[in-house]
Formats: sequence, C-alpha cells, structure tokens
Amino acid sequence: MIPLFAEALLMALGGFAVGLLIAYLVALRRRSQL
Amino acid sequence: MAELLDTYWPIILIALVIGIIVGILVFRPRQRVRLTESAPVRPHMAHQPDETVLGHEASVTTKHVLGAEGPPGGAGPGDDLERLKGVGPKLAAMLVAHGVTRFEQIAKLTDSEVERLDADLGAFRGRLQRDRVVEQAEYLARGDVDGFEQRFGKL
Repeated sequence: MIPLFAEALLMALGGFAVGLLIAYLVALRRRSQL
Repeated sequence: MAELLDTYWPIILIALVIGIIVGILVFRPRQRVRLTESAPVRPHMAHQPDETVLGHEASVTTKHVLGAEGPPGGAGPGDDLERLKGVGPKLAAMLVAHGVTRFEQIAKLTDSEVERLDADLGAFRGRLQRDRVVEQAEYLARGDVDGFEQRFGKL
C-alpha cells in the first residue's frame, strides 16, 4: 500500500498537471484565434 | 479510483486551481516583436558604406553644433578623454560624437563653443564648466601631467 501522504501528494500533483494542461490548451486556442 | 477522488477531491481541486493559475501565467500570450531586414529604414538609419555609424553621427552632430566643421585638430588618433576628471565613458562618447576626440580640441574651444557644446550634452549639461574640463584639457594637451596633477589631483 502507498503511504497516505504519498497518495495525497500524487492526487495533488495530478490535479496540478491537469490544471496546467487546461491553461495550456486555453492559451493555444486563444493564440490560434488571434 | 472513485474512492480516491472521493477522499482527496479538495486537494485535487486546490491543485487544479493552482495549476490553472500557474499555467495561465506561463502560457499567457506575450507581445511578440519581430525584427526583420525589411523594416522601413529611416533616413538617419541608412547604411553608410564608407564610415562607421558613429563617425557619421559625429560629423552630422558636429556640423549641427559647431557650424560647418568640428573643432579643428580632430584628425588623427583621439586621446583618452576619460583621463579628464569628471568625464566618464558616457560623456567621453558624447564628446566623440560631437567630433571632439583630442585634448587639444577641448583646450582650443572658445567660451561660446563650450556653451554650444554644453547645451547639447543632455544630462551632462554644465559638467564642462563645473569640472573645468577645458582647463584640464589645456594641461593634458601640453602634456603637463605634473601641472595637471597639482591642480586637479592624481591622474
């Protein structure tokens, strides 16, 4: 079993990565619209 | 998986928001300036094949400030104007741009010429008088380093 803090850390990291991806895609869309 | 999401959704949400904020900051569109060869060239930017840009600027400004030609004696290798007390790299470059490259030229400047030159020195206005640059140049033009050091301090 993964320790609890590692589990939480992974979840946070995943969330962060998804957020980053969303921002990147939004920026990409905006740039192509310019 | 659903169990994990159920347990950690606040953490994931916070991380998501932070990720979006960081992402927006990193990927925000920046103003891009592209420099190309085909940019319109203004008259003063035109390439001067025979002389350096600085040389051209010097002659133009000299004519503007001191009439037809710069102060006489500008030919030949220039002196290190930064030896004059109160003259740093910027002021020296400005003087060179005005066609003043030798101590002899500065020493021979008349009061009105000094005034005209001074008026064109921007932030260094008044420096020539304040630091008695003409007087200093007289000593250095003569090569009288001892006299210079007695009056103005060590070179």
